[in-house]
Amino acid sequence: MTELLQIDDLAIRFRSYGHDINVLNGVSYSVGWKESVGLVGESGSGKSVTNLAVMGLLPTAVIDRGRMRFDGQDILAMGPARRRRLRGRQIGMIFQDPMNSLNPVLKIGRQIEEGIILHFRVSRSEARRRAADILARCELSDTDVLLNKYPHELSGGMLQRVMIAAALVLEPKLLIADEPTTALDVTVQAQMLDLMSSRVREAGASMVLISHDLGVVASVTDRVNVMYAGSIVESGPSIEVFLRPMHPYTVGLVHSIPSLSEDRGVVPIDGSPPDLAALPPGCPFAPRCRWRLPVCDRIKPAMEPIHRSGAAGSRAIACHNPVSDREAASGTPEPRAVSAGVTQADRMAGL
Amino acid sequence: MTVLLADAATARQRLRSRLHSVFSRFPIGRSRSAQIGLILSLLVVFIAIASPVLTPYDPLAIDPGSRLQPPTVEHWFGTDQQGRDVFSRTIAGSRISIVSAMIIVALAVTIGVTIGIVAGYAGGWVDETLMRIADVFLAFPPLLLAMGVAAALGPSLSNAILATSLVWWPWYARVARAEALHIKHEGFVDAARTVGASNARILRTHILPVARTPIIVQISLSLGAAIVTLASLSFIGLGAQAPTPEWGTMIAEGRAYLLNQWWIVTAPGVAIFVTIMAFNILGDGVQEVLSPPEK
Repeated sequence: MTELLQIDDLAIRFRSYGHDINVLNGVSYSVGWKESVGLVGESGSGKSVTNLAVMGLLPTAVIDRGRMRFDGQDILAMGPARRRRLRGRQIGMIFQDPMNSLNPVLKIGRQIEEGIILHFRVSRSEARRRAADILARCELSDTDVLLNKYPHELSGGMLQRVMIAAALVLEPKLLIADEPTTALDVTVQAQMLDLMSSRVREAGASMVLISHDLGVVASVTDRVNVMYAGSIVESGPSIEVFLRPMHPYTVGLVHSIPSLSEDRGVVPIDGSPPDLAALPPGCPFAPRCRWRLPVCDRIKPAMEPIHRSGAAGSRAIACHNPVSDREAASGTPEPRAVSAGVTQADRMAGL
Repeated sequence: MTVLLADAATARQRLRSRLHSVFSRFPIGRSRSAQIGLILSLLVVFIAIASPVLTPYDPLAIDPGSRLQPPTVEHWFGTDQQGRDVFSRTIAGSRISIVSAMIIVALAVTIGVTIGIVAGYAGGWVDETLMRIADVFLAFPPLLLAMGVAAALGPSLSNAILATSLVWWPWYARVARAEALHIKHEGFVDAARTVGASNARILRTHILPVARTPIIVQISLSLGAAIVTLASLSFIGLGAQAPTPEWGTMIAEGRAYLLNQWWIVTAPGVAIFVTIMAFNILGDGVQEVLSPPEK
């Protein structure tokens, strides 16, 4: 069976005052039916842009190459009207800031009903019934009162529940959640993720969860893709990647999460993400990498599958010098005998 | 019976909460000028609506036997050169002025806001083209352009109204465009798009309602100016024509008698002054109430 969403070698750039900014440099990933996939990376790594491209919400971007297929159909070949029917009905999206995602001068009910009326041939009263119904299923009470309220009368957590409800009421096959908990209190973040993933599972839909927090993503998704500077650098089963990261950047991400149980401080990744308008020829992470080899500055590593002892499921990384489990646990590279210019395959054979 | 009473009680309650929500959205209690302006404007509008009842004489009835009479008990504001009652004509004129001003503003808002939000939302060459057209209109002094258009169309009240609206839409276009420009980057516009809303739908249900406040302010500020412009056009003969009791026309007709029969021009002049002041105070008040406080 084909995947629900299949993105191949997507490259996108923004034109900005004469020079180009390469936001995506050949991103490939897929989302299977009833699967939830995480997309993790720093700000500016291209995780949001990838999904805005799927939704067709990047009017000024130039798509250089690549293909996007949803449910077997080529998204890029669709006309505007067909894409509009796809949005909401087939692919739902939840944004980061719920306070900003609702129109302040319209009542909640009206905004949920808008999508229902747009995509289903139903009366206003039926739309209202469905809106109340979905709000109740998103664990909100007094739905009739709620439908008549304005967004400013609700708390951030309630608004995000409303946004989740508004997306789910259209019964999409895929729900894209772009940092859905970032703007919320820590106390409601977990509830929200729980609610979202259980409703998506109930509906038999798939989910893409975008976040900069690998821990959050690992807890609710099946697979994860780690993005850096517009490319995917590591992918695999979420728990595997989280517990035994192999790419130096992923190691950095794991160690930058504060831990209560382990006796270590937060270790930031040195340096800052590269200028997307002037990417180095080699690995984009090389200047910040503590596992750097001379080859890293010259040749950009490609995503290659990895079979390591004990690793379940298919994993892949784009790295000339993968991190070993012991190094991943300590967060520091260990000295090893390597000669400059070895290929990724050579190194893998040696491990 | 009790059911009916209960119904009435809930209805009353609903009305009260509705009124409350209206007043909390437009809290006129905060602004003295909004209160004074609202009372004066309502008074003027009331006079306009009730003018057929309020006029003691037919504003068009000629009485050669009692021409150019000074203010008396029978004729409060005196009579004009054809013996018509100036008080009745002034009251009747309020209806013409206010209805015309409202038509002007309604036309200008319809044209201007449509063009403005489309320009702001679409951006690019659509924006450039529409706003350069607006700039052409803005390049001329408004009264001069209105005179030109009215003269070209031929002197009549409806042409004067049309000319004035044509001169005014660019102001609304600019306000609406500025609003659309920043509203289109709001998260809820993207959110609406992710639900599959078309551009037309986004403009109608998401941009227009959010943009309405500055447009309402602009409307309240320009009602007074609409009345002056129209009276000016009528005064120079391009607006309402002779027997019509329009304030500008009345002043034009009476100006030959200014030195000896001052009341003929004074009554409509004061009427213009009071009406414009009422609307301008209201406009200031509305702006004060609806605009965010300045730092």
